[in-house]
Amino acid sequence: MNERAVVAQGAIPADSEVDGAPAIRVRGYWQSVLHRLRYDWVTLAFGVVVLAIVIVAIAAPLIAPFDPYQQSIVGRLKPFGWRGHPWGTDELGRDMMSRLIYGGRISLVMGLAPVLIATVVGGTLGVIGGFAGRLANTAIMRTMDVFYAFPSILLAVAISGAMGGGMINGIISLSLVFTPAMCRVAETATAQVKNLDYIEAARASGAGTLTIIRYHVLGNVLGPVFIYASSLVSVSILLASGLSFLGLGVQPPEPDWGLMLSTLRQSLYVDPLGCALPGIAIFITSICFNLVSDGVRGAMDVRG
Amino acid sequence: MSAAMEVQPYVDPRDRGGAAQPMLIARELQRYFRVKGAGKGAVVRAVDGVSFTLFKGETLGVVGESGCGKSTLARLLLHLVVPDSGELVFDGDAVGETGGVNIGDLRRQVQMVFQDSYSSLNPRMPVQDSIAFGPMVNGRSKTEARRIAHEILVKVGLRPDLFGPRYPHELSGGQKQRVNIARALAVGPRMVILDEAVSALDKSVEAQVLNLLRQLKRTLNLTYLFISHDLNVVRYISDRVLVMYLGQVVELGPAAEVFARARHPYTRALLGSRLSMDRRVRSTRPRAAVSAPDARMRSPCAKRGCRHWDTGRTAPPMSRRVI
Repeated sequence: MNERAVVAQGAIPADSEVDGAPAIRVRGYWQSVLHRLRYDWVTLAFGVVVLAIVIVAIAAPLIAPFDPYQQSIVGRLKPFGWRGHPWGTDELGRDMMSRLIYGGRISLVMGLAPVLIATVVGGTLGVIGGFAGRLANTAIMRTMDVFYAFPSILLAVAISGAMGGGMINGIISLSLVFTPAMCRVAETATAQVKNLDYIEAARASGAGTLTIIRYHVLGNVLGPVFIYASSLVSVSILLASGLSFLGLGVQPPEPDWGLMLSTLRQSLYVDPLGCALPGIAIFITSICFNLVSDGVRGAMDVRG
Repeated sequence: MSAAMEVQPYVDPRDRGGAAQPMLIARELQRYFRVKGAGKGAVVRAVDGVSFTLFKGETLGVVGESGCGKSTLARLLLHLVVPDSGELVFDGDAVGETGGVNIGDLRRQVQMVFQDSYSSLNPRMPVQDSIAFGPMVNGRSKTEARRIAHEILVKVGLRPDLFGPRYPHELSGGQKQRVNIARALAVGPRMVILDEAVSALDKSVEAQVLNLLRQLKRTLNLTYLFISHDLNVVRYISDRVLVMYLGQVVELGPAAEVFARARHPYTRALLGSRLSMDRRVRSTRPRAAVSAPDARMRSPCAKRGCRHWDTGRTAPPMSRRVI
């Protein structure tokens, strides 16, 4: 953190007097965030891992050595390296590596889509709730509190259970779980900004509410909201895997990590290493997202 | 030093009432705030029947200790806080009433500079955009607004190419306050409310900004309402002085007169608290017997018309307002 502070100081041009000051390169906010990130090796390293996971997921058809749906009666639960299957096969004789690679696609979608939806919906509601009067605020925030009353996993399970399995329903239920928290973050950030003098000054110069929100509120709310969203991605991946594990998320034969973990569970005594692979994938992906989000948060947190 | 003599010949095309018409007349402005958790009906009498007249081209200083309603008064004048009752006349037109001047027009002609130079600038916006925001919402194009911002930056003594693209946290306190002044002036106001505009600055910078304000007033034909708790600053810049105490005006008069012969005990107490280099003026022990005002409290001697809490020791009951 100390090192970071020194770097941050370097990013701020030294104070200079009215005239005759040497021209200093002025960095914008996002530029200075990037500048700080460049010196954060931990975040960079885990960022590279995240990037690799994303690229592998996108390029799955090119990279995967086998068809992830191709079953084989004779080649079930085979060990690493069996007949060219680098990580062996699963309980139906499908290539583990290919399934894990394809599973990354689903996990990333399940990790990102609900967070994105929750950010848009919750963020909008939060800004409205924060900026509008007491009545609208109460209406929005108390509604959100109702969702808060349930533990997030229980709520996700309940919603998915009520609507039935499937990827889309899983995304919807996770979005509903994340929206209240997102709304609260946006509302708090908006309420903080709302009472600052520059909002009053903007009103004094004749700007309407929408103009003020667009120019003066959104920019300041986006930061905290983005930070929170990035920390939710790993939670979302975990919850989505949990839903699939319980049979409420992605349905077979789709190669989802949580689902794979659930079906391979029965073969735990036969092929313990193979069973652990989807779990390892979930662990690595979520921890990398988490650490990257931590690093970005640190880089974005410096204000003055 | 009388206000009438200070009035300069006016050439502003927006001038309606002529030079003799006061810029702003406030009559019996009142605003109470409800206090949460202090019992039913508990209110802070932030501004409690304030009346004054602000002439064109003058600087009216408003003094009083913190919590006496100075800032609320400033916000009332711009309708940023809506008054409970009272009348506001801007250049001969009633504010916010049919046939008068509407709030939008008022805000184009009256601007405000805030005290906290940090929270009064958007931290995520280059200062040139903060300044250009006013002209932009008033219908100027982006490039035009940017050009105006640069012109104003020059006027407040900051090089636009150097300071325009900077963010508030990259400026010193004095520079930020110059930007704040620029932001207020960008809309082209005729009157500027300076709410503790120099209070947060250290003395040398404060002097620079004060001189800048005087110079801007001359060149741009401005009228100032200068709010401060610093009596020396108010004396330096004001033509007339208005003393507030617990939401009311206790004294109003030409600056020299108020400072030389304060008539109200509160004003005297306030003057006694001032710092001075002059041995004769300076007091070595606190002379003020006035406790910090808390507008929620009703003083025990309120029935006698006194607005003091716990001053039985020295101050005489203030049964009348000296104006």
